Amino acid sequence: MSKLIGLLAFAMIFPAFWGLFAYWLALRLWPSARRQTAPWTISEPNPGAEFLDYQI
Amino acid sequence: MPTALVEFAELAPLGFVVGLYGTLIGAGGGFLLVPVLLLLLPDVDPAAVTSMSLAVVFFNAYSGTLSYVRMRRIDYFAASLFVLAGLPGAVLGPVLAHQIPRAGFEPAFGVVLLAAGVWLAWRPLGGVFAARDARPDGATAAIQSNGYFNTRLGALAGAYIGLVSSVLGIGGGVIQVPFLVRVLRFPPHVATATSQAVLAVLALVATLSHLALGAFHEGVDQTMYLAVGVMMGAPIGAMLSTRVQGSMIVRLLALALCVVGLRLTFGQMFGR
Repeated sequence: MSKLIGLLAFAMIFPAFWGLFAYWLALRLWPSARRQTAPWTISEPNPGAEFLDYQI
Repeated sequence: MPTALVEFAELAPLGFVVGLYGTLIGAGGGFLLVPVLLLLLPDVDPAAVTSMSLAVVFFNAYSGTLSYVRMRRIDYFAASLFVLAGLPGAVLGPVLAHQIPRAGFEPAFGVVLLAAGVWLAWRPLGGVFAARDARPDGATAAIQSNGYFNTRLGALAGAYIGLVSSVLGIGGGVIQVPFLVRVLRFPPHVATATSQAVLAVLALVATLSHLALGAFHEGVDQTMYLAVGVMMGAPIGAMLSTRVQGSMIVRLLALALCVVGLRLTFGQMFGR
């Protein structure tokens, strides 16, 4: 039982630490990427955009 | 007729449907594949079916990603972030899956997914990208998302989604895409494309792990037959996505969520 509680606690806590590490690492690896435009803000027309219900 | 030909005739069309539908909604298609394969291949070990499904998910996501790269729909920064966040979960999930009592975990999570599916079907975009519906002239809505998203929240959720999906034995696209659309405010077409790119990497890692651990010991031929189908269906799914509105994509995704939810909730009653 204590092993199960330990595993569940690990499953609850570990992703939080890892997620923050991934966030830190991503910003270090691609420092400017966060400020780059995402695909849906590119200014040139996107082929097929007229079929969408928002502008890509 | 040779058995191999019969299997190809059964599995390649199945792969085609899985590839088309999965790529359209940004999922790998494992949620469809596993229950159908368990029915079609009763002699194959269920663990091997999971390995087969993951390998097919990789081929599907790889083919879909190539199409979406050409369509410039992938948010590469977000995809890299979710891959980084999801990697350890994808590796640790199978280990935890053996330890956590699935009899309680799966039905509980199944009910959550089922509820999420019903909620998404009812309000697919939650008013975020629904401005077009409100405009009588039907003109294209102005951009409501400026391309930024809550990166920290995305990384945290990516880590949890990676772990939970892996414990449940699914690729995770059916959980990831709704999160991207409804929480991080990604446009559905960008969310599906980004999710495919993430799946391509995570499913490859998971498949290599299964190969290394010897879990992928049978069903290689059948996997190849399915791979032929998915790799033909995925580009068509990507092409179709340009003709389908975001709200419809989310509704199709809601259907997939309901399928997963029902399978998890009632699967144990019917031997999965």
